[in-house]
Amino acid sequence: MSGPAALAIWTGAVLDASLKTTVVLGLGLAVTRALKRSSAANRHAVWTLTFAALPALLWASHRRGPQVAIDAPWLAALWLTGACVAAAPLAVSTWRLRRIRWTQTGSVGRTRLGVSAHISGPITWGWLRPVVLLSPRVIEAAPHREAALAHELAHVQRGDWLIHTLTWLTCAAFWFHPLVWPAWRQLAMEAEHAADDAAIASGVAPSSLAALLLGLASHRPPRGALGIVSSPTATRIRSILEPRTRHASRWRASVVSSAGLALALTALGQWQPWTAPPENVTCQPAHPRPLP
Amino acid sequence: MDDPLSRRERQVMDLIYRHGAASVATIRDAMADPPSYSAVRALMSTLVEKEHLRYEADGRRYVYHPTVPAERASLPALQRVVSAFFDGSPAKAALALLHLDDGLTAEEIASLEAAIAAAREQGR
Repeated sequence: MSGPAALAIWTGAVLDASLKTTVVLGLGLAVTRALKRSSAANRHAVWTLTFAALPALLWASHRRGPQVAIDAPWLAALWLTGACVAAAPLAVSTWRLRRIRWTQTGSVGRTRLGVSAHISGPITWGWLRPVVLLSPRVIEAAPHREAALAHELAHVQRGDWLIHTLTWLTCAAFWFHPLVWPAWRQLAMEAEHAADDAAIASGVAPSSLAALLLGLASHRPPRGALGIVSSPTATRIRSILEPRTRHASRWRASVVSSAGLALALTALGQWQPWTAPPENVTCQPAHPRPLP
Repeated sequence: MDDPLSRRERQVMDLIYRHGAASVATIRDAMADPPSYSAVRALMSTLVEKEHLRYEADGRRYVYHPTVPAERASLPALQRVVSAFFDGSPAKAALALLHLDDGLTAEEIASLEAAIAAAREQGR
């Protein structure tokens, strides 16, 4: 297959998959809304599944051959440029993360614990050999230290960093899709809420975790907003302080949402959105895949 | 004031805006990959010459302030987009306990402090 033809098929596949992406993300939104009273861990699981479906849709579209190939090299170039720009912050940050100076102070299993004066608050990254870094200010106060460690170790245990990175890359591939980034912010927010819940379940006092967050947020420049809409941090602190049961039936929601999503994906696999070629785009029939 | 800023100078200005006002030592501590103390002081002196910063004596040390408040120091739109994307803090590739842009208003801080005190009284 010639280069331009492969490119045309790829562009077609991206467009094909992005239409289905709309349906999948809408479904993710509907299910997480329905799970409003369930735990953040459940909603995070649903968003993770939703995001896992996106590369699968792209792969399926490309493998089967999209309905139409779009012979517009500029469109392919635009897509690639956008994807690179969207992935760039992750690459730049990874590079800067590697250059942060920190001192290892201990370890928990494979997780390395350390302290660094060059971070503005506790952070964690890494998958096989994760790192949890605390800042000196957080380490000084014992309740804060415990709350921060419990929260970060919960991220490690849940595998949140890997999900964070892979879903970001998925967003980069669908950078032009208006629903992808808001959905990703929901996923990231639920991961924080879930780690807060896990920290409290492990015995951290809600007031300690809330005080730690408030202490960190108070050192940030105030928001430029009018103060009508509550900031995500304020919402999070209030949610931490709210007395309630935290680990609601995780399995039930997970099973129900997985089954729903699987059904939807199967249906989408059969759906071929381009019954008629869209206008304003130069279209040509996809090249048939060569016979084995 | 129209002199373009070097990468380091831009970094110092970003940190000054983040802190509101800061000493040389504070800025150096906040840099991820800091040059020597005297190099940071030299950078800040250049920024004073370029009229981006002014300083005030606070006891034995100098505290630097931006000459233009943060709201008005708007960069050209394109430059701002580029810096938002490429000046990425290391926290983007990690899970931060709190994201950099999550500031709170004074009213929110006061009300949350009260809520935390109430939770403490209930032993939570």
